[in-house]
Amino acid sequence: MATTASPAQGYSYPRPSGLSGGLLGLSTSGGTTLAGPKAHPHFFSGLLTEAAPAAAALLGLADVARTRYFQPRPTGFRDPVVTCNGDRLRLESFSACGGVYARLDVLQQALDGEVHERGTTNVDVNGPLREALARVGGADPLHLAVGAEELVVTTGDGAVVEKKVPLPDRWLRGFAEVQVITAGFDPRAELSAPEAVRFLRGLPGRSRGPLWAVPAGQMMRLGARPVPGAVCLAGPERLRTMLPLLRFAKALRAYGPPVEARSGPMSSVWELELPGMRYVLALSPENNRGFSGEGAVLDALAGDDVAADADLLGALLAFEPRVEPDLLAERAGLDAARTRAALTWLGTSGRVGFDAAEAAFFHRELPYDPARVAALNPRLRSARELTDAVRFTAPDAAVVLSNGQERQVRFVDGKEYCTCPWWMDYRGERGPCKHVLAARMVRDAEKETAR
Amino acid sequence: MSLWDDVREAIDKGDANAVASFVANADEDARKTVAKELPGHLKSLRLNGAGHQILPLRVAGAACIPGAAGVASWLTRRDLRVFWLQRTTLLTHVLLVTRLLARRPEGWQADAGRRIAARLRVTDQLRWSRDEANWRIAAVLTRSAGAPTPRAEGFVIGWLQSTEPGELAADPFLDDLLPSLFEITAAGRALEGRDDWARALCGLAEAGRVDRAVLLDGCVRRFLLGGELRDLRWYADLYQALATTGEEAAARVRDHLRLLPAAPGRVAELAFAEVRRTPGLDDADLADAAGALLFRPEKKLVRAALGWLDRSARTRPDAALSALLPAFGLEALDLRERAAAIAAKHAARAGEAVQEALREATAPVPATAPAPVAPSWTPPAAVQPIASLAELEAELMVSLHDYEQEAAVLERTLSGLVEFAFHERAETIETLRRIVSGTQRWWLDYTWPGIAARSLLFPGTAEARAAYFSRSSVPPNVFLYRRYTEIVGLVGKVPVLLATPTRASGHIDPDVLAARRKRYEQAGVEPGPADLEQALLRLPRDAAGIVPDPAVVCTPYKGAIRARITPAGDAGGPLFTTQPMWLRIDFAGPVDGWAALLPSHREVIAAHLLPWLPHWFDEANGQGGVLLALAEADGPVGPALNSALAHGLNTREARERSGAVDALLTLRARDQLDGGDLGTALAALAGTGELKVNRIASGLGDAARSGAPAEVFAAAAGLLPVLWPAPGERVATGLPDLIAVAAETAETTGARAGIPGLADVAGRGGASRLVREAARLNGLLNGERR
Repeated sequence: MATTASPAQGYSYPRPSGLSGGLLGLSTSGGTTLAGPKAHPHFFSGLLTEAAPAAAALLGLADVARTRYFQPRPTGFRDPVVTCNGDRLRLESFSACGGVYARLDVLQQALDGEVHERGTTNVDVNGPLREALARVGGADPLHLAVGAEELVVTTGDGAVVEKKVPLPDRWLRGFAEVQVITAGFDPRAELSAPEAVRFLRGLPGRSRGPLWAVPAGQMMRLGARPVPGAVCLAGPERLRTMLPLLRFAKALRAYGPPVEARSGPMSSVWELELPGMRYVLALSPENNRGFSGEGAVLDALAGDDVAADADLLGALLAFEPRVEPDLLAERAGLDAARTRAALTWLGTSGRVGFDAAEAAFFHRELPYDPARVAALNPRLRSARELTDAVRFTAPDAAVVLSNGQERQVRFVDGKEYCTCPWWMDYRGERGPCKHVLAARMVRDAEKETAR
Repeated sequence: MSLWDDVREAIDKGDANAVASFVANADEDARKTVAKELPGHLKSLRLNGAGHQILPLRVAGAACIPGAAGVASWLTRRDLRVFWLQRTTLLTHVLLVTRLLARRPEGWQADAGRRIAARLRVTDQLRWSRDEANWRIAAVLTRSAGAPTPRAEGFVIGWLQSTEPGELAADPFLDDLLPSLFEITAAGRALEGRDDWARALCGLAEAGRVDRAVLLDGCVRRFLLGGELRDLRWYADLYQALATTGEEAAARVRDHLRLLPAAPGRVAELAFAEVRRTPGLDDADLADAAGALLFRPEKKLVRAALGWLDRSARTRPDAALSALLPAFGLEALDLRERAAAIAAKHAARAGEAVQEALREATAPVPATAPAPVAPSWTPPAAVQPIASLAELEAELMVSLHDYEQEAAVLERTLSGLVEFAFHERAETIETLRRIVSGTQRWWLDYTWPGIAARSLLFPGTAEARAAYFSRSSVPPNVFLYRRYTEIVGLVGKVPVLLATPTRASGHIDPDVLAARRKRYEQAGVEPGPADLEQALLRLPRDAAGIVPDPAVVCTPYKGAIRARITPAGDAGGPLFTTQPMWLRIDFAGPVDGWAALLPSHREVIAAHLLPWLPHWFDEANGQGGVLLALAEADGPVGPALNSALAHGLNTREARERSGAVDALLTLRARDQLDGGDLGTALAALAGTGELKVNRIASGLGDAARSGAPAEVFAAAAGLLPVLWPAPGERVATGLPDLIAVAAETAETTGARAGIPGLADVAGRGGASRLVREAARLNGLLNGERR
């Protein structure tokens, strides 16, 4: 793959992040704050009371960002995203393969200091910082400054840091979409610290096909088949960054969608509770599947007014740690269903994230080119282009002419079928194909006019 | 002829020297015209990474493209990189290019060298056949221009790969690039197994050519940066080979302390050795280090830490014994006991507070029985027949793309095809036509739905394909394919298939079967004999006319059925042979549909699996799934199924093994699991020498904790007596774990059964984990409670 071909992202930091003299200074790049865009926002200055777990978790985050879990090879490194939600700091990263999402939520209990601003941006992570983080230990707290110009102690010569890394569309889309995919997940199991250690250390190195973690009493057992209540664990090696954190762990929680006996592989969320913070990993349904290909969000996005609703809602967000949909719906004057669809839209535009522990969205603005993040899902875009090529032959059957091929779309008992190769490969497990979407749009539009 | 014509001819001939001599004597403008033509010519050649024109193209570009940036990107183009060159060809090419470039000003050369270096890809330099030519060109340009050494990752890796470690002392890049060796992530991969480099660097350090401190600090920094062991091993070897002095170790002890918790085992061992030899650690550091080590998964490190604390307790009992406290939470009994022994040895000299803490930690914890988990089982779901032609079309389309469909899915599709072909023949044919309108030759030749479709689309061609496709000598497959072949002939002629299951297990509801037979009567057609036979064999056990169970005898390698199993009231074709003679001359094929062939007589299917399972213990062939299906099927559980389960637990692949555990739990939930019989089967498998105790221990442990403790205890009690090692003999990996599983289950179930040989092992004495776990189990069985 030619790295030059994919669009690149530039980061610009006033100086490298560093750790010396008990001060962890994280340098910020351009981002969004409550007050609008800023070149180097200053979010927090104060004490990080749980220094050792925070340092170890930051290293885990950096490891995820530089790993390609599918067909491993050396890869470029994209700096983590930091969000200050007022009472907490969230640091997010996304693996190079687009299949693992990691987030560290540093909660109020681990922070003692002053929040200067709320917002989202990138923070610089570099080799010397990694090394210094690995040297953090013992029980002493660290001073932490996120973006504070006057406080950041520099290692090296303190020159401005400019970085450029490739930022493929699918990576960016996956980073945004993982939020919406995991939004419907429910807690499935909670393991105590000793059981968490036993479970995570006992995971096989690799597995052909997905495994299913089945809650059994206070433990979890790996099974070969989906059963109700189980959580899919595809590519158990992708939880590896949790191992160095185990000595701080207080509990391990697993979240997932409902599972039936014939379910295919699914995404899952794993949350390690640490003192004053949570380390969260979301895994895609299979090693070779990134989050961007999962069409779980398309159903909510197909409507016309969703974008406008999302704009309305987006203007009301203020970097809240928890977005309350009811409150938001009331203030925007939208009903619950439209609010949900609009939140999904905001999610795929990188403007809200989802916190499974709180079962709530939180506001953050991915610090990437807004035009690119908000760009329409390609499948949806193709579907819109296809609507003219849809011909209904019966109330439940349509022919869609696409690239000179006729695809048969059927609606049978609330299920959809299409005769395109993509649908046959995934059988609806990765959302509707563009033909089904197009047919559905046409049908819904007709219903609307008939009304 | 213009210069370009000459050059092009030379390029097409593959003559790089000719290209060089043409362009060397040309003037600037003529060269520029050549440079303009090159990209177009390259494109027209469509090289795809190979071709004799590559070297002359590179030479022409290097000589004619005016700018340094242009030359750099030309030489490092994807389609112009060279990976497979003989040594002399490579060196000649490098010489040719660099000579042509030597005419450029120094600043230009330095710029080009830097740019080429920056464009070298790490992955290209790591490959076995790597892009050496461009590295060499960059290196020559840098040196001849006297430019600063490039630090780009690709250049450093290229340097590692292209430099003879023996000649390092005189290497011009050594001083500049040595630090990068420890900074670049990919360097660890490139240096993997390069003992010669480690030796050479040690030699240079000894000779004073490089600074020891640079090497030592580099290694430690590298350890801190982390990574997998394979990326760090070389640095660990180098560090070890440098043999640090006491002062050197002490100077880095803070870093070594931080490496203890999370570094890979080999690195942590090395760091621990350094910590251990450093005097004057304060109490907090001691506690920190001990806490990190006692938490490690490697027994070896935990044991070493215990030894260290034992030694430290002599001089500073309070600090060492406080640091020992986490050890009482360890899972392994021998380590816990060792900790207790250390505490007992030194407690007298410890302060009151520490003694109190030790008493608390070692006090017997009242056994809190974990909440009992009951495995649950829901009867197999109903199978919904294909309801519409649209659904049939979709299923057929899926079979077009999925060559290895599950047997249950396949059977449902075939059954739908038969029904619709009978009732809506014209529409079905139209649907099939649409499906095969593309080129679906493969589908028509090599899948059962495709072959069945032939019966409607190309009458007369299906039988031959079916006959070819159904060759097998494996009895369950013979039976299966005989019916499939028959189905191919029945498409369009019969109203319905008799034997299509109504439950996921493969069972048929007797009423449904009766109704189907009625439809045959109404249509005035006869059912196919294989279909009828299969239908009768799929009746539930409580149905009238169910076939009696045949006797099954088996060994861990084969099952033999002591009676022919034929459905009642039927003339009966060849069903299951009694002697599994086919092994090694045939291929089992997918086994996922086997359980549904005889859902009321699972022993028979288990017996037919047995010849295969021993050969699959390192493979994933779906055996876990078929074991689970057998657990959900009906019929007595006998030696064949128990043997099959034993093999399943012995599988390396975690996914298959957990299928076997699922099967155990399903049987347990249905009250059909006899742990004693399973133990007998496991013991028989152990007798063949192919039992992996660690796999069995992990599988049984999972089953025990998920709700089958009594059965697991019985199974372990049956297996253990054949596993005891003679005194001094090597202990099988996982045996102590298996004893621990037995102890755990004995504790939860209150079992008191005697285990032959246990008391003997328990009485051997010593602190080995085998003996300690055996002693604990023995105590539990004799009524001692922890």
